[in-house]
Amino acid sequence: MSLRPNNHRYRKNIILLLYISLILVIFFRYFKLQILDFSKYQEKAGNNSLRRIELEAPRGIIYDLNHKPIVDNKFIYDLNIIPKDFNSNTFNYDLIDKIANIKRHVIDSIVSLNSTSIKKFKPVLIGRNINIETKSKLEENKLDLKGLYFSNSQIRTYMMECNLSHVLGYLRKKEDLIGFSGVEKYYQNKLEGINGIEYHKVDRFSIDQGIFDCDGNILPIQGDDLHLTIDSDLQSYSESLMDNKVGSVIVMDPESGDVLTMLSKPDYDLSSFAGEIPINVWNEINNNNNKPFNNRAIQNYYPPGSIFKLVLSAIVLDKNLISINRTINCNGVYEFYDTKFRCWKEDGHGKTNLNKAIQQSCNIYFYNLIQMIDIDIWSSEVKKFGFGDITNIDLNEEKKGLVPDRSFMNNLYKGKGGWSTGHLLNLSIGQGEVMVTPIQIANLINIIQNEGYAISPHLNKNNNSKKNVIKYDKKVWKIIKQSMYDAVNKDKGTAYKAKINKKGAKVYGKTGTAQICSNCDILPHAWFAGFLELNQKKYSIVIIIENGGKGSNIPSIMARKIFQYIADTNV
Amino acid sequence: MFKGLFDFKNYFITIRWVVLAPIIIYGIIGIMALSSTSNFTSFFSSTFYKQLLWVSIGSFVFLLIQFVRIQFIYDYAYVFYLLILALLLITFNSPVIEGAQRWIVFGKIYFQPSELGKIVYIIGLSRLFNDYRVKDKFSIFFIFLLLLSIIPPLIIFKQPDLGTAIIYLSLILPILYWSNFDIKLILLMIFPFVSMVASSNIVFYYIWMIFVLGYLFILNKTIIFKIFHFTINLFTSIASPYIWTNILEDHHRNRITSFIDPFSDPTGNGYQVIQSMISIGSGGFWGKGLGEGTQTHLKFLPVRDTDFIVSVISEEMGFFTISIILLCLTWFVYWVVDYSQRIENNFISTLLIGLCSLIFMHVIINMGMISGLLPVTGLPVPFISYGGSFFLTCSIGVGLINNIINNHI
Repeated sequence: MSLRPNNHRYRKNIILLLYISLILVIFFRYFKLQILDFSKYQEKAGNNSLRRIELEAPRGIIYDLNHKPIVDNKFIYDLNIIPKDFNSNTFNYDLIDKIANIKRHVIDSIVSLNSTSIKKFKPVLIGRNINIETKSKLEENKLDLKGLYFSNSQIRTYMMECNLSHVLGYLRKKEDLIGFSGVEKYYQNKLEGINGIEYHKVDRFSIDQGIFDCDGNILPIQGDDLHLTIDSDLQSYSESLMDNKVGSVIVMDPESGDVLTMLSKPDYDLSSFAGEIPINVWNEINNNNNKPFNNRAIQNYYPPGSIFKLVLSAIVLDKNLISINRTINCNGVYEFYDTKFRCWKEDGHGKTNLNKAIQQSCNIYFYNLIQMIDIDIWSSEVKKFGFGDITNIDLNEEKKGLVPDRSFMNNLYKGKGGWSTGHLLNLSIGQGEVMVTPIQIANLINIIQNEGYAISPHLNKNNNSKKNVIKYDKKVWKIIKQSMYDAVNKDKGTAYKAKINKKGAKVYGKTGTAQICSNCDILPHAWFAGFLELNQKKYSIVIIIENGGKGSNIPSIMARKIFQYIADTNV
Repeated sequence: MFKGLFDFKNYFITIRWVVLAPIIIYGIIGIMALSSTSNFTSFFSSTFYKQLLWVSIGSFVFLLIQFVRIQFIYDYAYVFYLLILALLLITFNSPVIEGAQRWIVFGKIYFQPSELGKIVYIIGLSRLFNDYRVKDKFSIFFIFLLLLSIIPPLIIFKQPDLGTAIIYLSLILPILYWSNFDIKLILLMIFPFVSMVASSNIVFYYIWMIFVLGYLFILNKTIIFKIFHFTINLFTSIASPYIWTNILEDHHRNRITSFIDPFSDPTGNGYQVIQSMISIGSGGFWGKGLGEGTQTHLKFLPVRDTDFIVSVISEEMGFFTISIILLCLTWFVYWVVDYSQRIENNFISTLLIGLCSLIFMHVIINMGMISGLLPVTGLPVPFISYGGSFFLTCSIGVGLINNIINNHI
């Protein structure tokens, strides 16, 4: 072994200096990471391994009048893919197509859109509303479908036979489920719950490793329940009557303002909106000329037709401008200056008093009546009945309708030769410029039935509805009610088809046949408005059938069926 | 051939606690970390129990090494060296395991020659540079010696096992230095590598080349020597782009780019370093507690039993434990270098420095890599990382240190 001179004593210091300074470099590196930058890295570690998961709060349950739940929630499974764990070479496309009917190009396009840096760790939705069998089938084949990930969310489930689509309304997913129409929209704040928060530990593959116990975890709170005034049995019976017709039916309890039935046809199946709306369903609804999304009960204008004769009668009776015995001769034609106004009955009604005029709906009688007042009185009195304004029903987007007044008429006929009393003749029978919604007519019927007041219509049982009072003489209402009773129960009454045979049941009614245009082939809209007295209980009803022909026909028959149903089941 | 390797006449074993105490602390820290990362479903899947087994085998090897005659090691240094070279060459015919040919396989036994080779390499170099002391001049013969000493790391680099190759290379300089080689010339050996890196930035490159010129100018050497060295520096800097594109492979390039900016691809190559730095940083002073590390247990941290075990320790046991590790290393290095300086025999003294550097380099390079100071390549930490053959190698190394201190001072 070599024993030659060396200078290790000196070299020891150099090598120690070098080594210890390297150790110091490492020491300060760790000091910086662990002590100086501790909070920064602590936060990063938290972001890495903790996921804040929003727990969707269930919406409130909606009940009907008889405390039957009609709208509830259910869990559905959504199918997601985490692009990072997804591998198109090993992924079994055929299998997922067979089980869940998701095509290859759909998956590929979604994955390629979301495969950039940070996005690829997040699950992306590829299919909604996967049922439990499909889910378990997919789970069995997990190894062939790497990257597949299930999440659950809640959708509405509809538990009644009727559609009730316009009243309930549909939901849309905007982060949370938001009511988009109907009471779901109007009572969104009440129905929506408070979402909870849960922190989950996730590993680097985004695989859930369970709940992280901390103060940040909050349980979701379910939204308040909603109790509707809708009688779901009556609703579904009414819907079955409407079938393919276009129009609306409203049944109310006049004394409380409860809406027992409200339907608008055509409608749509809410359950098809529960998950993702299939594009063909959406297009079909959206492109339908009859606009199924419109709630005809509150959103569509119609000329009220002969129903409006009731309003004019009440006005002139209250002002004592006419006695009930006053007769007018109707020979079918009324000549007003150079214009001929016709009664619907070509050979006329003969001698007609108010009762007969309402009962048989004589136009000429009312042409005479309207000339006793001017347009200012007419329009201000009509507005007292709630026309030209919303009824404050608890639904969004209610329309006001139109009650023409002097300035309106002046504007309308400016430059067209002006307007004259002749136009008023049209208004007297509910034609011309006046436009109403079915719910306003229901309100009118309620006023008549309650003899001078109406509670604003509502769908929520616990409401604070306003009371709308009209201070007319009590006898006014008695006369009108009698006439409406006669219209149904006398042989020549226009509404006689609405008559029912039931002890203790009294039906009152008025039909309307609203012309849409003069001298055209389009059938008029058919109205029936009336009410039923059944022992102590009252039911008001409004039916409109678009292009339904005469009011005395289809709507009156429908009204009878509904009255009969009510009387039989005594809802 | 192995007659005379052991000398059992003196059966008293003296343990130098100044040297062994830090090693035992390392072992304990390692076992603690593994108790957190290991799974305990069965013996064979539990790194914790298996490590306990390796610790006992390692202790036995340590004790056995105490009977080794250093004279025998000296005598056979070159034979061992050639033997390990042959074994390293055999690996090129061995099966590819996990993309590398590091192992010689006999049935179920996997032997990694580069592991035991570390010790043999140190022995070989220690004798080589002390037998042919070149003192302070570059000669053709010296360059031949250098070439001889970089053959093993080159083979290992080709296996490929970059981490181990780097360890081999890092041992050359301390051994050379302790063999009385002029430090000024050692610096000249490092310069070409710096030139290679410096050429990536033109401003830095000019400053560096001016520095090299100045350094050569003040050296008391012939003009030809100076021109020769300047040419070498020029050559390596010009060859640098060629090396970058043609010699380095994709994963080398990625490793270097992700080292320069780990966040350039946080989910790819930079991922490991970022996660490791987050683990270390989020540990704080006392750590999150054993088994509480979110980075470790939610699998954000890769190879946590071996290469990244210090990240686990940082996260769960904190800066406090890191300080202990570094303190132990300082203590160990100080005493071994101190003993080495007292030994008259140049070979044995250099051997001690080599063995000490082996432990030191592993710890420093590993801790530098996982904290983002150096590009990442797989490298375990002595006595802390899980792993059998490396543990045995280190046990032999420390055993030799203990043996030398007992018998040669």
